[in-house]
Amino acid sequence: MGKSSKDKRDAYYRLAKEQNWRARSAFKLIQIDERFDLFEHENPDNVTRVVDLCAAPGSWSQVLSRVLIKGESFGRRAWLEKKRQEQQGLEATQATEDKMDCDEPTSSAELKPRKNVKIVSIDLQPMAPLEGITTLKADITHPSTIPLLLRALDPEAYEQPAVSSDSPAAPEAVREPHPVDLVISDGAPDVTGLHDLDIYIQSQLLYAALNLAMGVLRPGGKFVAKIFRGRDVDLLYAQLRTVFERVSVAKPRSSRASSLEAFVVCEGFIPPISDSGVVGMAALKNPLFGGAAAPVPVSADGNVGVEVREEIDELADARKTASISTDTPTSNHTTEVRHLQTTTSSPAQPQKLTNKFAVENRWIPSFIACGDLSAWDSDATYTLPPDYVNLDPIQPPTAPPYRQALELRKLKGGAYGKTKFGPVSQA
Amino acid sequence: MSGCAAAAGHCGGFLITANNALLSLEVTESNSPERKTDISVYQLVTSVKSILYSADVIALSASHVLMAAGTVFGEIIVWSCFLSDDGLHKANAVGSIHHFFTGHEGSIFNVRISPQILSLNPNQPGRFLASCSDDRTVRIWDISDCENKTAQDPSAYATDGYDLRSTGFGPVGAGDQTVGSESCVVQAFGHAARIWGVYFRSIQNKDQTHVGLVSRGEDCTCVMWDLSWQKSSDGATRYEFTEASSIQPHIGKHIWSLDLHRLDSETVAYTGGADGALKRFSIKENDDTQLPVRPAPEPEIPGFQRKRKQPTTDRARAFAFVSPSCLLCVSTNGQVQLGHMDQTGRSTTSWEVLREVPDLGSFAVISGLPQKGLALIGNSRGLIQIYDHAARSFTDVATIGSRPLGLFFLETNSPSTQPSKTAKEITFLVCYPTKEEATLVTASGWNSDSFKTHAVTFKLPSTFVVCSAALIFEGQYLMIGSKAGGLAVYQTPKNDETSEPTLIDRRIHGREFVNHIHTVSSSSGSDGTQSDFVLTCGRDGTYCLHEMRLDGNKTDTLSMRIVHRTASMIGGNIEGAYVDELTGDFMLYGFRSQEWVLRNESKLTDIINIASGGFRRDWAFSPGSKDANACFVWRDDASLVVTHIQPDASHLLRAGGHGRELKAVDVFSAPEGGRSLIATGAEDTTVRLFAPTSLVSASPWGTFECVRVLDTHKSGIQQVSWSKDGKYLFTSAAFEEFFVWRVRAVPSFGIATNLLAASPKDDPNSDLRILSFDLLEVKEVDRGQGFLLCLTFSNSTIKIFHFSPSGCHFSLLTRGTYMTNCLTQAHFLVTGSSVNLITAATDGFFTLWDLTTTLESFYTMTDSVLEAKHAFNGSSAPADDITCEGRYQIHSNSIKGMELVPLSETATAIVAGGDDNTISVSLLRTSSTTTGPRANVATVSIPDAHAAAVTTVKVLSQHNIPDTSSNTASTKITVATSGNDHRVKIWSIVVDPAQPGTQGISVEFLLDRYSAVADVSSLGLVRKHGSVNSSDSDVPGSQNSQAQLVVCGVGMEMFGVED
Repeated sequence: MGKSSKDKRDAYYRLAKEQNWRARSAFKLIQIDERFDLFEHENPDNVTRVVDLCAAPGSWSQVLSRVLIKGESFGRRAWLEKKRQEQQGLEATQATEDKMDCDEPTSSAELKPRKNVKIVSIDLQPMAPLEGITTLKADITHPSTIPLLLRALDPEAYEQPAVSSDSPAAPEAVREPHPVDLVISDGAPDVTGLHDLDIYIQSQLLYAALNLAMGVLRPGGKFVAKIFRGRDVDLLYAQLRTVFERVSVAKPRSSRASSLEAFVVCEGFIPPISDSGVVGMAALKNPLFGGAAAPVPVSADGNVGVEVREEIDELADARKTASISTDTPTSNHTTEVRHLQTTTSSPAQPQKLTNKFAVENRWIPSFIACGDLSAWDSDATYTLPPDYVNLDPIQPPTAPPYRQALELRKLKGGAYGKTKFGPVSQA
Repeated sequence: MSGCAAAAGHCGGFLITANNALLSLEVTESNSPERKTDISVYQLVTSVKSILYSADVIALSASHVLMAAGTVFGEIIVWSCFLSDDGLHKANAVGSIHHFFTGHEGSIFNVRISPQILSLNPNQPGRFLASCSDDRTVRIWDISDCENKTAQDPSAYATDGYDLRSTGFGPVGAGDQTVGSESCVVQAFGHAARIWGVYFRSIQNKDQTHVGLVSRGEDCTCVMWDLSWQKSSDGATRYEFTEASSIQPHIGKHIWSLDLHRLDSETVAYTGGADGALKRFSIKENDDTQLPVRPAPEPEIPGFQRKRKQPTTDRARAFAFVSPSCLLCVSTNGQVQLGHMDQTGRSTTSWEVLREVPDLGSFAVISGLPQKGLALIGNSRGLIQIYDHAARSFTDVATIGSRPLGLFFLETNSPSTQPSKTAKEITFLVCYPTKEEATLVTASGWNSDSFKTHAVTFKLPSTFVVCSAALIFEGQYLMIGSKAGGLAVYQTPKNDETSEPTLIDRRIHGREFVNHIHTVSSSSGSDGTQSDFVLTCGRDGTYCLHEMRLDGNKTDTLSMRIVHRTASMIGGNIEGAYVDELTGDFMLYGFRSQEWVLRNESKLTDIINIASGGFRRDWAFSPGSKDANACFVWRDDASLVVTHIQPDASHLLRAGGHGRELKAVDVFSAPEGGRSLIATGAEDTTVRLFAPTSLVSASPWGTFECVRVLDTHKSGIQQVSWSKDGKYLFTSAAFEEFFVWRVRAVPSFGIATNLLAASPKDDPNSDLRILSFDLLEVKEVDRGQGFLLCLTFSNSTIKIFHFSPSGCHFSLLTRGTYMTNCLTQAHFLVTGSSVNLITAATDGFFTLWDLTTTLESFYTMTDSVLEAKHAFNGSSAPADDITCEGRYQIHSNSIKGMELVPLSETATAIVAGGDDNTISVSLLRTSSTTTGPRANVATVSIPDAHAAAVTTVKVLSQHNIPDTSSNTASTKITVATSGNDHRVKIWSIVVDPAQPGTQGISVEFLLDRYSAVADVSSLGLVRKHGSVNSSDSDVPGSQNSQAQLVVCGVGMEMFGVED
């Protein structure tokens, strides 16, 4: 797809270039914030320390930088702010000319920078630096990332490790480290096309982000991560609910309805009480979630094998659906919401492994579409004005792993000469 | 990630997880009476807990397990687990890391530990590790040192990986000399996309200093590699790693699986692709100690060998087959030779000189008819001789006076009668290089006293150069094909007269050669009409089936129409077609650029590709018979190259289907006795027609046999729909493509499909997607079949067309515009004398549109039947735009599946599924008021119906439940839903329109089944026939004894549905 047709096909791709975002995913974070008030705009001091995992090419960090450090506001929020100021304004003129423009985030005039902001961004790929943000190049699933992150968050809390290679230098905190308020992760592996593998790797990436978050979040903190809504995603939701008060699944309008992508928004972190009472760094060494967690033996001799009977996969009892609420949005439209799930009570504690796949360990959180319905539709095709100027992407794609292979082929010319060294598409 | 059996003499095995933990698997005798054995799993030890894309594990001995792990983030960890020798391993297992290999610039998709290599190191066996990655390289690492490590040796690295060091892609940062400084011994680029797997081939000879590898990739290719090593004088080992050859066995993208098996002097590779096919090819192995200097082991497809005729002083002037194993050849020195092909392929063709005719040395035209053992030879003066292979005799049959351009045997036998081998009458056509005429010659009784010939010369249409010819209707008509794509039909000329063609169409195959004409089958109607189905193949890469109709009532009016066209050799040239004698498969042969291709069109697979230098070099092909293999001969410079082709059955194990994920399905449920047809559309831009198979095991097809592939679309298919009678198929895709296909069954050809028309576009460069459409059968003015069509576009517009199949044209009636959202669904709603349209969009709203007022000027509407008021001529004179009656939000995000169930004149149930995991049931009630129609909607939504997006909804059945007390009726609807959570759920919905609000809607959850199909996009229903009385209805495989649900997504699956 050429640049021009992509502009038509994808409104957010075009807007990102027009508004100086490194990637269209910036709108996803803005739209989630509109709905969930991630950055607590009324209480700016509540969100000042943020960790951005899998950040490259850096559009989410860019949002963090512009909201927290520069104090800008975007989208609907910016528009509301503008309205409020006009109301208070001395001039009595009606602001009739102002069309609601929520779909095109424009920054408001007044800047409200926050104090004591600390933002750490981690990615595997080298990332172009952003002002005021500490960037690290590291693998979030790798254990060595934990001390790196802790030190970046609290440079003064950790002593520099002794420069000797023979003693493994796990840093010890000299004082209690400051926790963070928000952990966000827009990470996804390059999809292979093998569905089970892609969904598994994505879930493991989410667990890795969650394990990191649990080591650094303050009680009541928030966690936002990309999730693929595929097979057994309800198991994942149920596990998230064990450590957060509220778990929702958010789909911003800027994320294509045709993709599996969505975001889990977890609010109100409840630090788990571990048996040993260890927290922070030590807890991170024994992660609670995902494949990295130690399996629980089912018998005294350490057998971890669980018999999975086929019937567990089949649900055969017919069930009525229970009514939850009714509503009448318009005079000629009545709606009623009914639930299939019977378990809507308080979150259950992690179940024993023996019934890991059982119904009671599955849970479907409420789905929340973010962004205004009249906002740009990422699935629709738009007509570009005749004088439309095609812009280049703000941040050219980071070096793809196959760059050298492509260059090599270009050198060879001949039959390979046709290969275009095109830009790499971003999610 | 990977597993292996325990070392010899021990029971059980080892598994490595995607988080780099080693598990041991133990099989013990069971205490429970239900089963014989119990399986226990123990976690032995974990290494660095990175996420892995790949791992390999081998048990070197009872106490040593060696592992290699490739991480998502581009690192390779080689480590061991040591166990105590007493077999009680789980208690004191110890892990030890030997190597961290960095350097790959992308995820490691596969790692593979080689078998022991004795020649690598002087005193101890060696081992390689091969890895492949996103960065398109295959790298080889030396891990020989791991072989003899013990638990007592210090681990090279801390096992928990907490040391501070940099991770991530790219070169290792400064100051990290201790880690990641190990580099591979050799690396090479290969494949055009990501490399998914790499495998070592076996080593037979212990002194062998080379080993073969195979890799598989996203580019649908397998690459064969040669790795060789040599000790140089300075003690260092020099490695060489080169790509030897490659093969592309599958269609679409990805080779997902591969396994190797050594068989004598070859390695047989089995591959599985994203197309669902399972194929086999073999690799010739070289077990010599050293690799030859110019290694060129080509992947040999089993079943063909080539033998080269030694170049002789004389070159072949012209040649043709006279029997499946004999080739008649005229050399440049005028010798007429007979070549006997050796069927085993072991010895060269033996040549026998039949006679010498010096003037044939400068010019000769040959045409063979191997079925009858005959050939024609023409010389430059126009003398034509017939060669009878049985008698080895030459007879002059005609003198036409000038140099012929081509000779064409014309078979008079209809395909239904077996060609008699002893037929003593032949007909052939002669055409000339300059004259616009042709001569038809009939000869009989050669080699006997009753020898008779008869020649008729007739005029050809201007610029019509004949390149193929056949007789149709038992010789009554002559059909000829031209070099410029034309077809002409003559009443077979009986004597010299200026006859005009009965029919002529100059552009059947574009402007390219019509290479081949033959009659496939005939049928006759009760009214005396006769139909011959004639196949033509062209240099435009397509083949067509034409229905020739001859009216029986003595008027002898002949008509011709195309009933099928397939572009089977993209960018190629179809030279001919035949039905294989053994398998009954439909075969095509031709050229794709420089390669000659034999293709099994029934199984949709290429049998062989031979680099013969393209169609401009002389060639001949014999399809073979029960006793002889197919054989292809071509001229390579001065010599003839002969290739025998053995039957293909061996290297296609499973035929597969679409190359990428399916997006749409619709089923035409055949009436009793017929075969249902499942039409599917996929991201691979093809539409396929599948028929459910009854005997799964016997064929390379699984549950579904693909009977036709329609590949005219240029982008991924969005929707497919059948007309009620199964005669028309409608398909839509991006680039505003909307096609109408005529589908019918042709005797002995199968399902014939022909593209009738494409919908007109406003802008020829439009890139809009047609996400959905609906069709309504209407009556034309002449009571014929017509269609009212509604198309919805990704830019929120709607177009309503009338389509007339008789004229194959679209008439735009009206259009409409929704907001700016992408429209995902369109459904006509016809009640009594009104027509409405319901659309749904990505914003979660459904919209009701009134069409009645607009359509009144085009149709009369009575009892839900629309009848055209006047004939449509394909022009677009659209009426006013249609208007939106009302919008109702039933989902919070995109509506992905929707079905309408009309309940009564005024009530309709709408079942929808959305991206918000929700299923909604809406009751739409309309009432006529003085101000126009009024609608009222009540919606029940179930937000936790599925764990992920609900992508499709299918109504399975609908029953009325009369309620005698209140004299109203409620309706019970059974619905299947599915989505991205791999679940198929069945719901029972009862709707009573008499109750207010949502009170009349009850939804009950019935059933939940796991489906192996990922990304389910659509559901199709194969309906069962009415009550089945026959006793054999329970026989497995008997079709349609129960309804079947077809689940389509990444692959397809069929479930039986019982009430």
